[in-house]
Amino acid sequence: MRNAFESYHPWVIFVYLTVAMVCAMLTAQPAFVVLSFVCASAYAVYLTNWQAYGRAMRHVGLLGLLVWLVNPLFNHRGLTVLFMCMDNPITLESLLYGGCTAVMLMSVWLWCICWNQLMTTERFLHVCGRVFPTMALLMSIVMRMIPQARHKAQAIAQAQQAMGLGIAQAKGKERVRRGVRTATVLMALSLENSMDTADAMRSRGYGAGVKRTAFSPFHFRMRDGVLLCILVLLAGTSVAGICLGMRTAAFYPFFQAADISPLFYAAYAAYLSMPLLLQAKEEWSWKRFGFRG
Amino acid sequence: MNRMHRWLEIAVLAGVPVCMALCAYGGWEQTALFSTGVALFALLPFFVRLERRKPRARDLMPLVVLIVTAVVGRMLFAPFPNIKPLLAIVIVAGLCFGRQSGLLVGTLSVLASNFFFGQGAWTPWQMYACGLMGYIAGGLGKTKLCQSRAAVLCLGALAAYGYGCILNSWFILGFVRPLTLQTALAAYGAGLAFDTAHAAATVVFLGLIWLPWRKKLTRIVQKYGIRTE
Amino acid sequence: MEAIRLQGITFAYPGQEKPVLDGVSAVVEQGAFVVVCGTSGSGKTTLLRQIKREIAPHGNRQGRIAILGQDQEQMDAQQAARCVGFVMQDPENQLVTDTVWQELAFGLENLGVPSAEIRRRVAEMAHFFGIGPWFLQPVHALSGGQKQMLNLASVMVMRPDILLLDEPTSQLDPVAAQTFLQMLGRIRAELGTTIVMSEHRLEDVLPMATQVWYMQQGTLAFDGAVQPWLQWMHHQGPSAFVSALPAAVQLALRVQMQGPWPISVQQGQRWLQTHSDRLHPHPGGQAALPASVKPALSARDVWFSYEKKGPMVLRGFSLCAYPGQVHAVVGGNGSGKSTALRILAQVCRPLHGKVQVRGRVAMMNQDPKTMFVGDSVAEDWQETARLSGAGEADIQAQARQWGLQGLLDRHPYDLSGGEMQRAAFGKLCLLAPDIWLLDEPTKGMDAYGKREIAQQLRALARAGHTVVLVTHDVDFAASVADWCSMMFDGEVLCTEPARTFFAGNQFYTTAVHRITRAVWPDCMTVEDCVGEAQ
Repeated sequence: MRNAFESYHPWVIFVYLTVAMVCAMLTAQPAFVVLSFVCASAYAVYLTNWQAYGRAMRHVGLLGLLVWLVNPLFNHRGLTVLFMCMDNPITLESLLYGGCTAVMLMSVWLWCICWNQLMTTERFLHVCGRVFPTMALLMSIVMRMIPQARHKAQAIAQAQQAMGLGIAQAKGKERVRRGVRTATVLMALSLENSMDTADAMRSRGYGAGVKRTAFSPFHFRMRDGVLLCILVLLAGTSVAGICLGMRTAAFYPFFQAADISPLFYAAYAAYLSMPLLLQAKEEWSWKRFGFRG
Repeated sequence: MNRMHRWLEIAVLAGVPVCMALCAYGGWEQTALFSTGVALFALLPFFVRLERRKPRARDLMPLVVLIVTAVVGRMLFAPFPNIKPLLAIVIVAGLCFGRQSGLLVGTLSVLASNFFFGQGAWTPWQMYACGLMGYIAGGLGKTKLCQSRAAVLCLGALAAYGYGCILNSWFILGFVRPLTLQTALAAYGAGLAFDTAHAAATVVFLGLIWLPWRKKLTRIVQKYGIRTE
Repeated sequence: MEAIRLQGITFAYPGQEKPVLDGVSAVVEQGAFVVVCGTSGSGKTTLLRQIKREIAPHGNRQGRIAILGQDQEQMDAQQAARCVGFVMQDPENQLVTDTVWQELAFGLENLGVPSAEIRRRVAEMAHFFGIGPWFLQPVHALSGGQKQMLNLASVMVMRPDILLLDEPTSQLDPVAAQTFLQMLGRIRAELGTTIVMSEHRLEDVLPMATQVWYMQQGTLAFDGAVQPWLQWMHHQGPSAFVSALPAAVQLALRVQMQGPWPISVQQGQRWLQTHSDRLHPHPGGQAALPASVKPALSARDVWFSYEKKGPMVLRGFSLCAYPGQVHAVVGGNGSGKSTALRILAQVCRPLHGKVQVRGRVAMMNQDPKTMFVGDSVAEDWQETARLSGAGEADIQAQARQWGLQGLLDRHPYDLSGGEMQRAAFGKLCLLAPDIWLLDEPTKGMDAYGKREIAQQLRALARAGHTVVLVTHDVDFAASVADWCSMMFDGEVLCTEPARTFFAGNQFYTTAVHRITRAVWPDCMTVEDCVGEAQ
């Protein structure tokens, strides 16, 4: 199935992901943290697969576990003492706070996975190309040269190997020396070739003194605007909720949940699950109309 | 004017650790978010300056090539996360081409390589840390100190530790709770082995590439009349 | 109207007395198709670059250039960038950005064309060039031919009045080169663009040309239409350049005094019907193999793939090469030729099958630049010499043999293409190999350079070495090989003595054979036809 959210303009995707990540880092209130974690998990699984999700969770889970356990061991605030560990009181509140921090860390990580799936180089360069055109161009040249350089590195290594000067044909110090020398040849060769690229740029008018325009195959349509408005509204409500919640919520001395309207949670949930909702809508309309031609 | 620029740059870059220290002192909950924003903000003036400067195609190319080799180098050593030539190449860029170029190569090679290794909330931090090391190397490049190979190698080791320290601080300030001297030291200690390996690798790489690469870069600069800063 | 007017262009590189261009004057009318030819180092590239102001080399220039009636110096930057387009030799290095659509838009972005207009022009050009299917792809996924086509398209999208091309097909395989030239023909016919193109493969280009510039040591020795030029060449008598001419012309130059000169294969066939009695064909002998000789190099049933889940590049590849013989492997793009060579060089390990080597192997890469590691040729060679135990005397001897005496302290990248190739040969010689493996040794070479390499390879074979080369260049293979193999889809379809091999093919054969097939089925080269074969 096509990814419905990907058909939107890069700016929409960029704003969505950035705000999701910012909100995830903004607060440790349990309800918000759990919402963010659940939605990020669902979307990450949708965008990759269970295996990739499992692998990521193994890595970041360990880190999370550490963060979770460190807190009660070093922090003895809170009044609900669960048990004593080496003369230190372990409190429910500090366990809860540590757990929230850990889940927050994990959801930030998961949002990063989603970011990497959605913000391809092209989309990213489109977004930053509007603000920093020279940098975007520079990055584009870099991205063009990377596969070329990898290919060249292989060709150099093979040419050296065929002459008996290969990396694998030496041991110890000499091996390191040959490895680094391959890199040196690669650098010198790329430098030499890049002068041709510079000529090609000049001959096609780069630096002709006009302000460059930025062309892109993406255009901002009505539907992008509509979705962006909805997202901004929902995000605004969520952030307001988070800030209001901060006033009343507390971990110490007793845990106290935020005293805010459930509507705020609903807005946050709706915001975070928007891509999946869009996907469900497309899937539904496909089921309904798809087979009729 | 130039002088003022320089002081402004230094102030902006130095502002980041100051902000971090303030966050730590204040025990603020949103440190992770706030400091990421600050790191990005600190890089902003440099990117703006790049846009203003409108460099010639030819002058950009050595930087592009260094970024590309840094990224490809990181790919080749991908199985060993603490052995990567990226920082060594950034330092070479700084020493040979100056502060601005060092910073650009540092930030952009991190950004480009993270397209392959995964972008994340840590990207702005890595960009800042790596860019800062390039900037510092650039500042020292013209001084007498860096004429000696030993000094360059020392710089490499210090830069690797500095880089590690900045990234660890971000993690500690953002996610280690409670933030006490004990926990912070424990977390720094946990990263020490990794940073030491990184420093050792950087010194080795720098020792191997510094002289030959400087020679090749100088040759191309002279042959094609490339303007450095 | 005049598209280009050159008046007394003299140019010398900084610090050099001898000018590279010496008093070149010429006029090109709009809509013309000019072919610039001449031996390597005659100043073709320098001349073309003078016409494109942005990439003109630095140095001391005299004379005036007018573009579309306007002095080049007085054109403003945008106009100059727009109205003269330039396509260079190497398809790879000219690509600036990482996707096809960005590449197409790059030039227009530089000129500040509004986004909507760019969209339209890019779409139009993508359609004209048939780029549609790969419009959204990253450029590294394209083949060499597609890359060069993209370079042409991204210049044409700026709507230039004049198109300059510097040996644009020299890095392409013959099929891609043909497609590229056909596109140039369409551009001229449908858009009326003036084209000035330097080229050393004249076989396919000359039929399209309306004007020829023949360069000789920096001077424009001839400027005029094709037939008068050939007549002029005839008057000049034999020169090193004659071997670059189309096969039909070469045959005709040997026997007739007056034009019209046949140019294409078809014209050659018709010409031969009336002139066959004037030639005295004497095809050379067949390569024979003593039954007792063991192969120096053999591969049996080799299977290979670059990726675990990727497609098989070699599927049951088998080959035997014998000492004292030159063995050419021909085949289309993606037939696995280069991979096979890597397997033989034991740079890649086969998944199944066996490779046996008797002797020391050296492989020559397609791009000789990848073979040098030192900061000067001498430094580079010294390291190789240490490896094989050769001494300073050997280095001097190799330098003499390859004509590089004065160049040993130069940086390898500062050498010209031919010199670099020779330096690479010299480097391999220091290793004293018994088996030579060469990947496209004639890529980017002119006819003279090819002839030189052919002589070197024959000399190596005479000295008892084994030579295996992989090439697109059928004419070169015919001039040098004893044995030929054809590869297709990862395996060798047939291996035959060269003469039998080319006689049996209709397309994979030399232009001479295509002309003379009906009359003399055994002639492969011009020498065969005129009875001068060794």
